[in-house]
Amino acid sequence: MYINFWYPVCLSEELKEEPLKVTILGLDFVAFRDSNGEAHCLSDICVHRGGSLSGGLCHTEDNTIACPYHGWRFDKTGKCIRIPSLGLKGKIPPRAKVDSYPVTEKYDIIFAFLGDLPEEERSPLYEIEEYGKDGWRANKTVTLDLNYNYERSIENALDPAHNEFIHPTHGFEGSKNDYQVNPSKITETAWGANFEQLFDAPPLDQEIYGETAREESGELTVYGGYHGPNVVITQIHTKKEINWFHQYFFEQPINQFQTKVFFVNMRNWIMEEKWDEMVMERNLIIAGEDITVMTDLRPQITPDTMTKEVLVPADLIMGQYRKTMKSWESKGYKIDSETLDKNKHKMAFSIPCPARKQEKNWVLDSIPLINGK
Amino acid sequence: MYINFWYVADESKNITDQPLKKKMLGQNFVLFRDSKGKVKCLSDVCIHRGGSLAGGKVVGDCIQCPYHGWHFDGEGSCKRIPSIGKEAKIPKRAKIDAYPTEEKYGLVFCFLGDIPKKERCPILEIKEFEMEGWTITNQKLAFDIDYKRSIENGIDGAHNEFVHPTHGFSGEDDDYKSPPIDMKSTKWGTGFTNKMYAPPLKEKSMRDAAGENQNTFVEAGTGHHGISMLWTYIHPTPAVHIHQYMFETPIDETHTNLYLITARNFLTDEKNDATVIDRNQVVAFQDRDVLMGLHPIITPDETKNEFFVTMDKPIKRYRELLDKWEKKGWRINSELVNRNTLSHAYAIPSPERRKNKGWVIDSIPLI
Repeated sequence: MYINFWYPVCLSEELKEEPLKVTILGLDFVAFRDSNGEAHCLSDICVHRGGSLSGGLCHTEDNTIACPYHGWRFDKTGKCIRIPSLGLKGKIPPRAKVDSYPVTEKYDIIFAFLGDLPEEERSPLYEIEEYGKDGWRANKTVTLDLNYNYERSIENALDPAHNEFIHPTHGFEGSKNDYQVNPSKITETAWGANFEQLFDAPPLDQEIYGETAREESGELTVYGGYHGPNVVITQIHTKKEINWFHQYFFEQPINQFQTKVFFVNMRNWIMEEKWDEMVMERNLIIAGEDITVMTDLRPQITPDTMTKEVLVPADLIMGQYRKTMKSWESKGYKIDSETLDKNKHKMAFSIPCPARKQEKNWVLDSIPLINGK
Repeated sequence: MYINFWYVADESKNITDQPLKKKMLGQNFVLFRDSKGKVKCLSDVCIHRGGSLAGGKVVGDCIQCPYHGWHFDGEGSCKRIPSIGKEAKIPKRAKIDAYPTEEKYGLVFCFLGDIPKKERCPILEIKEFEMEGWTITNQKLAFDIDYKRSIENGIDGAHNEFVHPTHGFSGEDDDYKSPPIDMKSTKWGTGFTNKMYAPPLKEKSMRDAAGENQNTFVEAGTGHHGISMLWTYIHPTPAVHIHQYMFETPIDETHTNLYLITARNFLTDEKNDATVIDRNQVVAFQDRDVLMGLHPIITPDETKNEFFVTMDKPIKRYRELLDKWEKKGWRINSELVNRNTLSHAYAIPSPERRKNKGWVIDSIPLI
């Protein structure tokens, strides 16, 4: 798992003027809205004696969150502005602050930047160009819970060779005599890579596709890619000009073996609302097929070296993803999960927030990271 | 847990032409029957990208991975990689560990290890299985215990009086003392016989068949064979014999499957099977209830952390054999496996590993 990327926290509709506890990258955070409706995200651990802030209260009069244990109040920047036991006039020590993270709201999702990079060095939140544009319709953003590692999930979404076998309606179950995976066209981007992949595709049925239906087998093109460690894009063009499904998965690694996926689904046809349900139902069937197989993969975490698998040309995009991840590891973004697990009962850690680069005196240790090279 | 022994994967009737996932020694295996009905057992982890083969299907003599459709035959060789097309050459590394299997006594045995045939501890022989005058019953139990604790319980001559009230007098007599045991050791095991002072059999039908209605001396014998097989002879009278054979399979360090075969030379009509099975079940659960309370949960590594008395001699000998097998390098380093369980897939090395190089999945760490 990696710091210094934007991670989905919760759906917009889930966040009120009440504290919400969310576990991301194995650590706890508290999210809440202030009286102006603005969303905030802090480390959940009170620096006093370890209370869980999300068990406390949101005070709308001073826009703070109060710890349930001794009532210490923290503002949106993470600074403590009141310590009840000292009285109203008591001086607040400068060390009384918790990490606070940059937050943005988009696609009906609250995102937090979990890391300490200054704004100009951050990877941007993935931009869905067609979101809100004419000629496109978005399903209501939904979440999916996975009991497996998020990198396994990202690799699965990038994988051009699994469809034939996991999703019976997507192909021919490898039964065609001349079946093989077409070569992928891969291009690197600033924060990941894109690919273009041609598939043989089954006929398109009359009921859904209407006049664009196709009786014979044909081709479809997928434009996909990944952005950062946790965003994967799948744009399915069942025909060249029309019948496009654009899918965007923003993944939240809860920890190393649990993942919550925030799924934005766009289409440029069957635009009426009445089709929303059918489109989502279809997507959830496909997701269920993936989940059945993915839950049983071993090891649960992608192996560290490629020698522990037999990789073939269709796995090229996964190799690219792993290469990009290595580049972030060498920058020192990778969490040292082993050290974290070893110390989890006796130490509280925090993902360093941007303010740590400007101020000293933080109470909680910054999460252990694997030394970059 | 130890590699290089025969372990029972399941009852024969449960292995079909549908893949079945079984966990043994903490690792997953896939079992299926090929087109000739022969049982095949492979490591369950696909060497491509970690798919669980048991989630796939059997196609002809091959198991097909559910993830990308790779085909592996019963010997573990990859026969097809769909994404590269039918004509493409299969890389040599594309192979999975496959294990020798044998069907016997209605059970499927798998040899989980890499030593050659002549060096293997043979499967415990059940002579009565083919003999006239004997009736056989099979039963299966699954307990949340360390299998070694159960084996040691099986060769423990001093627990009956206390764990099984119908087998003795709960040690209540002033002059009670465990009867002397006559120990016998073989290359692969140890056992003993003794004469136990015992009340009449519990079941009336069995009591009548034995023709013994008073307290008497029962000839008994028990022993282990290899790491996880047990035999027990109970002779309530010189003519009435109950012979039991237990095959235990560690699912992991704290979960065990037990396959019990009972041979009897009295009440041989199969209408009495239910009584025998029922009685065995009662006794097995009496053992289980005590074994589940033992601490530590796993048999200690050193006898100095326990207090052994004369009756524990067979157990001491079992521990000596465990040490011997550990020195041969057969003991799994469970601590390391557990530590790496999320990030490493392991395979129990198969005999083929001694002949060929180029294996993708690491062999399980051994002590």
